[in-house]
Amino acid sequence: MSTNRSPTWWLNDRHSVKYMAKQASGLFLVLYALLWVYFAVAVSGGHGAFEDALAVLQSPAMLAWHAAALAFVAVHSVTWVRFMPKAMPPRLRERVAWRSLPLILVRLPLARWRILEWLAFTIGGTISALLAVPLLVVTGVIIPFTGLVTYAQAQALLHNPFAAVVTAATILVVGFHGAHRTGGLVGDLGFKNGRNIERILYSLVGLGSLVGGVALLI
Amino acid sequence: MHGSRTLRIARCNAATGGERSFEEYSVEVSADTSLLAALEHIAAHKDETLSYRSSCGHGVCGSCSMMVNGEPRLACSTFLRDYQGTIVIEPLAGFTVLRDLNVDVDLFFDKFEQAGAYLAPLPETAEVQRNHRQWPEDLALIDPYSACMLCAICYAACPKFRENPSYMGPAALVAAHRYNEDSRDDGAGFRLARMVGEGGIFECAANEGCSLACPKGIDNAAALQGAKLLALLTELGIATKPTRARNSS
Repeated sequence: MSTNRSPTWWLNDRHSVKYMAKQASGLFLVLYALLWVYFAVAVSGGHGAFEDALAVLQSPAMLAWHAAALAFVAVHSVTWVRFMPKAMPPRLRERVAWRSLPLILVRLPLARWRILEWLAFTIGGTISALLAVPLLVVTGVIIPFTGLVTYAQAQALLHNPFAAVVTAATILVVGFHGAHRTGGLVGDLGFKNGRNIERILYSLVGLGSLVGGVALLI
Repeated sequence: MHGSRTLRIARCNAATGGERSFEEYSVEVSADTSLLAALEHIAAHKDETLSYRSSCGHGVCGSCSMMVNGEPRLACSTFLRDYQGTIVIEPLAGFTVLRDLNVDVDLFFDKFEQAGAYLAPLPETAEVQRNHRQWPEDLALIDPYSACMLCAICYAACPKFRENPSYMGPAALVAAHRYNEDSRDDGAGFRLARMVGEGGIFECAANEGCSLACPKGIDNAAALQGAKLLALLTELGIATKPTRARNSS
């Protein structure tokens, strides 16, 4: 049986504070995925809806949120870049039966949930680590404050089937990664219902990616 | 001499249902006074009821794990010259306290059985008998994990084990991974089923505290991440074991 620990255990050392910042980046990633759903709906909603979205992005609250998200997500990116090379098993190229790659199409739908969950988490984590920081600069500063992106440009870039699929998939995996991390954060803070919160957030980002993708398609 | 230090030591006797309390002891410290030497001095000269576990005294056996100012460490490899003022000594976090600094480690050793962290030898064919030798390339795959001395420090450093004691934890899962990687082993099938199940590798949140705390420098977090990737490749039917011994004689 484990001994009890204080909910503030992570304040005892710098490493744990950094770890919790990385875990907290998950909540920002979920919210950011949902912000993209809103943005996708706005782009497909016409010029007026796009202007309304711009006004939201220009608000001081949204600017402050972007700054906070940037700080947390940057911790995640730095950790990812430092950790991933170490985590690759040695002689990885020899370990993949390259001729059997087509098997993936058959085996993937039959894979166990915990493995599929980790696969989605890892893909989402990789995309978040590489893209979230530059994207936060785009939606936090470039779009609302520079006038470099007009409604016509946003429409041309996002309102087509390819962009719809890419945007919906990105919202899904980034949101999924964030949801899993947020569930972990809840557990780390000593609450018992981390898995339930994770499932609610999975549903939310799943629905959001569908809404965002469909909005850009129609 | 490096002066004196005050050890604030957690005292508790689970058998009598006692609550944890702290007692302070002052000890004289020289350049090479380890925490274990200080505890031995206290038990011999100041308070013979002080209970702690130790064996080799040289960082080999992993018996004297405890919390030092909130960090899991080996008492024998912790030198008091590196600390100032009062040093707080507590039993290893995450485990049930038996008495003072002694914890119940049965839970820890049970995890190895749970994870299947033992060799499942290849069938004894003539080919296998000839190839019981291990090539250096194959040894290199398991060597980084073989230094584990079962001190359980990685468990005290793992937030996920502290949150969920049914998690098999770093040492047992890394040992299981080490056997999966062993060119002489044939048990990856049953072992992976355990490793990806409840309490297995996917509970790990890559906190890396286990790697930082390991007295033997084993990068447990990286090993577990690698084990997850290999579990995925296996599940997708595209994993092979890169053993030179199987492919050459």
